[in-house]
Amino acid sequence: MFRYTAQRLTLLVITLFMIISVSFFVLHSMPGSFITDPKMPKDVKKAIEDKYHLNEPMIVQYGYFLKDFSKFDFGLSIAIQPKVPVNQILATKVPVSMQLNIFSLLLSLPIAIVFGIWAALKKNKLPDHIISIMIIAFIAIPSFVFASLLQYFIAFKLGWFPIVVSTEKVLTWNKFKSIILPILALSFGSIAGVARYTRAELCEALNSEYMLLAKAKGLTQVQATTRHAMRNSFIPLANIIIPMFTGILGGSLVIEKIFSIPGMGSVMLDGINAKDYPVAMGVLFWYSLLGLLTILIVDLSYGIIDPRIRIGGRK
Amino acid sequence: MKNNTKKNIENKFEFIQLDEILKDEKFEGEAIGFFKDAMIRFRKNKASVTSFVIISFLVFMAIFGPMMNEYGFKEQNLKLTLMPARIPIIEKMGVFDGTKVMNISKDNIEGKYKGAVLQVIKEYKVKDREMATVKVDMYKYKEVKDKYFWFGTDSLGRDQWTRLWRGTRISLIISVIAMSVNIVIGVVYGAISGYYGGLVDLGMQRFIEVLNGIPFLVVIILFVLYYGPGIIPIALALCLTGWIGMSRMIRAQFYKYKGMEYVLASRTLGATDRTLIFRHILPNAFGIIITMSALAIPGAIFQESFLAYIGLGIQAPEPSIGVLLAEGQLVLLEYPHLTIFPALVISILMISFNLLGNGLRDAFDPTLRGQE
Amino acid sequence: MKRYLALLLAIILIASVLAGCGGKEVAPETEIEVEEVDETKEEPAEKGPTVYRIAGSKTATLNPHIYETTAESDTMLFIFGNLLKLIYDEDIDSYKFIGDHAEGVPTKNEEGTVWTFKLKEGLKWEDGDPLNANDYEYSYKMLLDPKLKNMRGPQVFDADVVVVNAKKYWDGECAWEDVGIKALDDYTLEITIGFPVPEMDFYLGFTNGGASSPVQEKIYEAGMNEDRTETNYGTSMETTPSSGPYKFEEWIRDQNKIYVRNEYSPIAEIYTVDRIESRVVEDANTRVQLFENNDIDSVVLSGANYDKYSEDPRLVFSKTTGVWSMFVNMTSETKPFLRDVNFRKALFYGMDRKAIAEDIYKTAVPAPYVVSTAKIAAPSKGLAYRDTDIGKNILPENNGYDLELAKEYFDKAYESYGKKMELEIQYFDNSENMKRTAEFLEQEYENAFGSDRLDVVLRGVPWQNAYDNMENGNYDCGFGSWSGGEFNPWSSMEVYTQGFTSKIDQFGNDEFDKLFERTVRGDLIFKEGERLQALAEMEEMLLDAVPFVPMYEPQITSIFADRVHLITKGKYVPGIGFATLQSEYDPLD
Repeated sequence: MFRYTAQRLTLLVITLFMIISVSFFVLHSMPGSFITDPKMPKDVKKAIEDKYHLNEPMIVQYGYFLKDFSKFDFGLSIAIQPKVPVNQILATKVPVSMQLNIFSLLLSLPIAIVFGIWAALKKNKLPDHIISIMIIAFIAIPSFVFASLLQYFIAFKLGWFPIVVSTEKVLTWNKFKSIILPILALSFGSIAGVARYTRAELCEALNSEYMLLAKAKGLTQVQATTRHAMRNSFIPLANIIIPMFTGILGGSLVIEKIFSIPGMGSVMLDGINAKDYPVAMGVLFWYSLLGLLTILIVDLSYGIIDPRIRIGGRK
Repeated sequence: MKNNTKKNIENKFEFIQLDEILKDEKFEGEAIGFFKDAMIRFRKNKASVTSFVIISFLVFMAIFGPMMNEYGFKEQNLKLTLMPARIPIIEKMGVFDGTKVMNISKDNIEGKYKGAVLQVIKEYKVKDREMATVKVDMYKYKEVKDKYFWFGTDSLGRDQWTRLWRGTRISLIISVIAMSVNIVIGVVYGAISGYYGGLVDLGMQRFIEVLNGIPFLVVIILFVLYYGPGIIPIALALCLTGWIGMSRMIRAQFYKYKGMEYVLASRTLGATDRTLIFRHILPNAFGIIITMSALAIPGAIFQESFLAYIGLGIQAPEPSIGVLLAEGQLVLLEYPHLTIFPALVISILMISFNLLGNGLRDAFDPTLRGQE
Repeated sequence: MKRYLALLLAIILIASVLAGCGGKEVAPETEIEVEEVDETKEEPAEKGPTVYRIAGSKTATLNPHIYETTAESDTMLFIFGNLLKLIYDEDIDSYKFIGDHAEGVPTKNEEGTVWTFKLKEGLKWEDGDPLNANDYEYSYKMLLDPKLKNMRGPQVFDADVVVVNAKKYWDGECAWEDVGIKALDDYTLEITIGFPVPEMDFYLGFTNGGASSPVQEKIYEAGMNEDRTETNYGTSMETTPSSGPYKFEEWIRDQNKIYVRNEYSPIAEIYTVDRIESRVVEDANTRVQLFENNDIDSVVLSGANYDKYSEDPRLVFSKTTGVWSMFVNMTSETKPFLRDVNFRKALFYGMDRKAIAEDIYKTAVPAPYVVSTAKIAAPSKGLAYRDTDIGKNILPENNGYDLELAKEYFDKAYESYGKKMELEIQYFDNSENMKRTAEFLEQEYENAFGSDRLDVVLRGVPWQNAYDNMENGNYDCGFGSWSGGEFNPWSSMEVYTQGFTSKIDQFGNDEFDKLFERTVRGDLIFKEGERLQALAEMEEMLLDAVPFVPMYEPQITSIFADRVHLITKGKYVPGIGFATLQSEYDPLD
């Protein structure tokens, strides 16, 4: 196990390096420049780009990038917050999104799992149909529609909550009240996703023979479900729940825009679109790292939840 | 002694059928194969059958819907832009009757809108000017009482009904292509990776990680920029990373089953890798494949609509559900009919495919074979 | 994936166009950021502070040497002072220059190349440190610093006013001593320029918060890195000292800004507003809801939100300096019919501008011309070029929509080409309205000229690519627009000259270039009548050759809350807008 983990960590570093390298070339092959003033004389534009080595061959630029990258220094943003260190941009933006995501997770996980289990137990009965339709509605209707409707009807028409998120930095009652709607809008998607998988996996587990055996040896339905079926059905579920925990550092573009939240949602996209390479690469690095760690944790957790699964084992 | 006993027994028992030749009874029913068995169970699931009917209906509409009225999908009429929906018969019930609530200057009730105002809801004053919130019959106001735009018109006065079904057709084509490619790649990749494990798996998973780590959006933008915004490029753009989810699920299934005793038993009996993968393990993942495929279609429609949002949609003036949603979203609160109908179609597709997927999964699930 | 749905707006935001010097425009929607800014009329407020609440866009930086967007320049109008200030004068119902840090307008020598500003005494930074002519010299030195390579540097060497040796210093080819910006003593600033320019153009170069505002040396230096290639000036509230009428009370990046009066500003008293609260709200629907909920005092309306208010008497319209046009590749190698002026004229006369402006853009005006109605041709009188007789005479009948004439031209073009023509129109993929315009034109042209003779296809392209394609001549037809200064329609013509490095049209005319030189740097500068005539000639040359088909001129539609009593009575004043900060406000409930 230890050896395997060490092996995986080494591979993680290599993978990360490859992602960063490939992305570097992909990003730099996008057409356009970070300078948006089209009236700027060509020689001036070139001089400014030269300052950031943008006119040199890509491999040379890659060399410059690697030099700073080896110190985890992604440099200063050049377009979306010019002259601000990339890591500092992340440090101010991540907590904003994180706050929302933590609440959303606290809200959605229990609800989703309860719904999923309930639907599985009452399979093909009324509760199952209602929950299934609700799940599908949550998945099928885009979150911007939900967010817009919540904002329009609950905040604007009824006036129960503020239209946009309040600007206080600490979590006061006022602030909390103003983030309820975005939290709701954020949660629908994850509730639907987790509930659907819980239902599917649990349904399968409930049909399996070990459940029959468990009941045959005298366990009640509840005991058998909680002790056997659930444990088994949670293995594939780890696939989507663990990423949710690590995903709290990201933000939702649409919801943050609608409720005016200064979070992570648009940073990556803005960086790409504005050709702000330092920001795009910086965000990409940290999120790739996070993503890879998540996958590693998922893989390792298979072995913990179900010892029969030998990690990395051969056929 | 021994002989004696035998003899005694022989004496006591009598062969009653010594002259007849015993044969197995002939099967009375027909043999039920795997698929037939599945179909029997599928047919018993009312929800799945209903959703199958609904999907067939939508496909039918996608093919024939655009021909059902006299308007063309790109036929514009700038005089009749953003008309609300008006459907014969239903209009009598007060919905889809071509009316719209507007804030207008009070003078205009008797002026510009003369005769078209059905009801004055509220009167108020803004800066010394009398205003009123009124319900206006837009068809009467524009003097086209004889026309029916069943789903209203868009901002260029094009018939939304025609565009919606034509859009559905294009979205379905894109999603079916994308889905098939994704499933094939995903299943094969996931099966190999999950079954062989070890170094093969490590390598293949790292490849996925790298692929997944590259900003998807940038790759798609480059892809569509290079190949142009046709149906096939968009479908293929959706396949760039679309198969990853599928392959992950399949891989997880293989991890779950490959260590099981029956697989070991089969291997001991000399089964080849191919038999083990496709005959013994993959069928366990059948449920997941079916559900994922059914969900992949609305999923791909969603992806397509995301591309439409960032302007990489199908080439104008051709519609797709994504293009229509993107257009509708901008005017969601003012002209909801432009969002409601495409959103309804995508939701119905989603629900139907989901229920269909559930039904198919239950039907094909080998552990349920022979059960009712 | 859903999180990308709003990408469209993100692109637009990033692409926001420069405020002062203009540029290729990105999309009509880009121009929705207007926080008019301005001043005047002191009214002792005793019932508590007068608050003005607005919703704006993100500001990436408040370093005056590198800012790019309208939102940023709007903020700088509040917090940065400059030598002069443009304000609304109720008596003449127009704009007026007053001295801000300078005592008044500068004096010039006989040739008109050396201008001298006298600064007021006792000027102070926000923290009480003295501010004088040396701060100005330092600021210009940094603006032009060859190592910093600030984006706004060209403002001093590639604009209406060209300071002697500024470009050389920027390129690192001469010493600071040679540059024509000198603080003679603490209260005298001398500017030496390359060629004489009209007063208006010179004043504008030193007016309002922006690149020519002073930066505070101690903060600028403290934020400098070791190589002196970057500074963090203007990246946070602490590094953004005020020299203008307002100062920051709070700045939470991408969310909120609160400004209060800066008591050290010599012109603070001109304003009626005590406190400005500006919230970053990027979603147009959210802004409208905030407005209706009485949380903000003004909002820009577009599209469906405009429909809702189309009959509201509170609507006010502001003009823009760009005319959106469909550029035609008049030197196309692959499609010879594009080179035929008859074909281009057919496109011109076959375009129903009224429908595009009123039915698609709703708030725009049809524009069969090159110079926008916002451009002022006689600064002394505030007279717009389009309102002069010369400017009016050029205009074709019926907004240039004449199907018969168009068909005539097309027949000629078809005859000489002889087979079916395929025309590709490229539009920005982030603009819904532009897509609609393209779809509309497809139908109009095909119906007018016959789809058997002309086939129009459409292609959505990211806006930057679209302009690149046009620059490289790699297109058939494409939409685009140039904006420019309101007060100098002549220098805006630069984009059509052959020497312009980022040219997007394929027009080339030596006579045109000569006229341009003469009106901007040559003998016509001070001859008002002839200069006007020359402008009309240039416009006519463009309309004759049709390197682009002008379509419409966007207008920005805003609505103000009832508590705002605009001092201009809703009239749009060039260079000022609606002078919201000089207006009267009812107290908040």
